Amino acid sequence: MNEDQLRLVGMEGMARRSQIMDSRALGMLIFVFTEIMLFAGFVSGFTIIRSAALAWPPPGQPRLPLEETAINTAALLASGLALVIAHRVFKRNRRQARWPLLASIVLGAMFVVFQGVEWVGMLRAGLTLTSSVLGSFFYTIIGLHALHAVAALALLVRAWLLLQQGRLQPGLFLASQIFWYFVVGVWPFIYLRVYP
Amino acid sequence: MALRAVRIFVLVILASPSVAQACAVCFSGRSDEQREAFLATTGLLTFLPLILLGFGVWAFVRRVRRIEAENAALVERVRAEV
Repeated sequence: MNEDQLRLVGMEGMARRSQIMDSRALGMLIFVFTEIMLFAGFVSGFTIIRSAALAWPPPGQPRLPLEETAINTAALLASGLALVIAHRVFKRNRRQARWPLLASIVLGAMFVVFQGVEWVGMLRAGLTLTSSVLGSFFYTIIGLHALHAVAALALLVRAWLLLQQGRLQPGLFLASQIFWYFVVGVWPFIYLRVYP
Repeated sequence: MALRAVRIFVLVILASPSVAQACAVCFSGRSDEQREAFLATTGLLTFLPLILLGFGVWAFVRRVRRIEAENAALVERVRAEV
């Protein structure tokens, strides 16, 4: 076997060993899969309980702020869009991706902060975890989503810091994106099911 | 004799479902809205994992095919160079 043939065999061997998907992204996808089912279970429970209620919201309980939360929803969706842009820019020029990524983080943080403000308002209006079945489901479902949003934001911030240092690996960035897309993607379903 | 008794029992049960609500959640399935809610959530929790798994398999196959095509192109390029 001559040197060229050896090179060819080496290239073929290398090609066969190509990784189908980054391990971090695959792990995140599996995690997101389980979380989708978790939220589906909660929303299903809420739907059943609500259908059995004689009056909604329950007597003495405030109506959920549908209109104000629409602004929050828009901020979250814009954050997802900014991340899509960051992903595309990252493929062409890694350094330039930090601006759309930063925009995504800021918009996501806005969502979390406004959700916190909304919670304070709801607590003042008398909606607590134990005040009614609406309060129990509201704080459980929305709180769980907020927890995911904070964790996903922490991952995005880490990705941004690594990008600043020029050490961000595509696999880690993809895993962070998958988590944030999940947070963004699951929200409209929660919003449309729980708030009206 | 026992088999006949069982058959009669089953027929009676089927003929009068309102007195045979053994399901733990049947107490609330009395209005259209509740029935629809049960149906919709059962459908959601049944088909959602299947859809997700189906999407995962589809994405995996698509990715494998793309890698194979890239590998084939790479090998062809090396062959042409050799």
